[in-house]
Amino acid sequence: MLEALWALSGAWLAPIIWQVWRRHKARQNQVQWEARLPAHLNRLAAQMASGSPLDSAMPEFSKTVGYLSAQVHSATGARWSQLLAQHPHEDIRLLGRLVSLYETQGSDLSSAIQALAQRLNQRQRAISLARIAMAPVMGQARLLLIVMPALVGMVGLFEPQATLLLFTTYSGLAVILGCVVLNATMWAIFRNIARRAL
Amino acid sequence: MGVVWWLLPGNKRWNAAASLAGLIHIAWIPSLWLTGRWVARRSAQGVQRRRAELFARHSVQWIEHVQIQTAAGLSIQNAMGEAGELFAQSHPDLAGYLPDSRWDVSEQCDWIARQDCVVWQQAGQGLVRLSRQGAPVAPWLEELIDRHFLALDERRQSAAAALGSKLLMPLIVGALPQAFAVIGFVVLNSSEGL
Repeated sequence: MLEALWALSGAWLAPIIWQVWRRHKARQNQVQWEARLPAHLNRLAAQMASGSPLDSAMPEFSKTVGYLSAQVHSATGARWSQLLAQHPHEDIRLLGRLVSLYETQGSDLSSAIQALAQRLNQRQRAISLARIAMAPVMGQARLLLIVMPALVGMVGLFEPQATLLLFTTYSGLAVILGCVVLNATMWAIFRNIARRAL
Repeated sequence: MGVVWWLLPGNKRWNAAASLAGLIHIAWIPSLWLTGRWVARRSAQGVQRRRAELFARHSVQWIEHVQIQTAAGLSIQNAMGEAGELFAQSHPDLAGYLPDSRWDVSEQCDWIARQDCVVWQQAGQGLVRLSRQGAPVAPWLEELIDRHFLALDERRQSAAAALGSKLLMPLIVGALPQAFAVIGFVVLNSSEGL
């Protein structure tokens, strides 16, 4: 019966853990991409300021931000603003809006892109500072998560047979479940403290 | 029903008890109504509070949009219109805080200055003044945004520093029962017992 319980929990938890890990990796990639975006925008602004036309500056930008609209642009002859407006990222859509203003009203695109890059830099800096300020809280929360496995490991060194009963009896599983629930509650409390304070 | 019970002939004591029971029974209706009203009001207040928190967090984005658009060379009126549109696209819930883009600049700035947000109040007052003087808006807005983020950082740092020993409490409350539970279980199940 216990084996079936372990198998069911494993079958239920494994895809969830896999999904969480994949989302975490995707989020990390997104953060790295966002961190590089201001530098790419500054380069684009510098090219525009030095007199490069949009059609020669934009393909390189598209390539560096990983958005392959250059082929679409050359193939269809669509305007850059229309292509950028379809991008999933909000800041690139804003760039598309600025390009649209440039195409229709002849606004100062270089200054606008510089201002956008500066705003993005500032946002990145604010996020970094918030993370630094939040570090003690989240550090405590992570410390809490280590307590139970470390404790089980330490006790297991002295009393391996009795510790094994934690995983092979219903009462032992109930103790572990209680610890997991307590950990989850404390994690939520720490997150709440961090959110309220910051 | 309570009055009818009271007026019925017979034992006055039993009649009074039945009448009281009837009245108590009726009292559930207004209490239910009052509880429902209280819950609805609390929920509406919660929605309003969450919206205000969201606005306080994201309000600076509208000023950022205005700054970017004015840096591109747009007039204040057009920049505010564009900024409003972009802000409403990003945060449809907060569109109610935005001024009507058909109003003239001073009316829009008055509206902005009246909102319950310090950075918007400063922006509204400054934009009116700068539009009257015809001075460039983008550098002033840039400085305003810088000051806003600086103040935000200071607030965060002081809030984090103020947390201090408060963090120990969840750690103790969370870790101690786990230690007792695991060690207690193992000791009770070991060959030597307690």
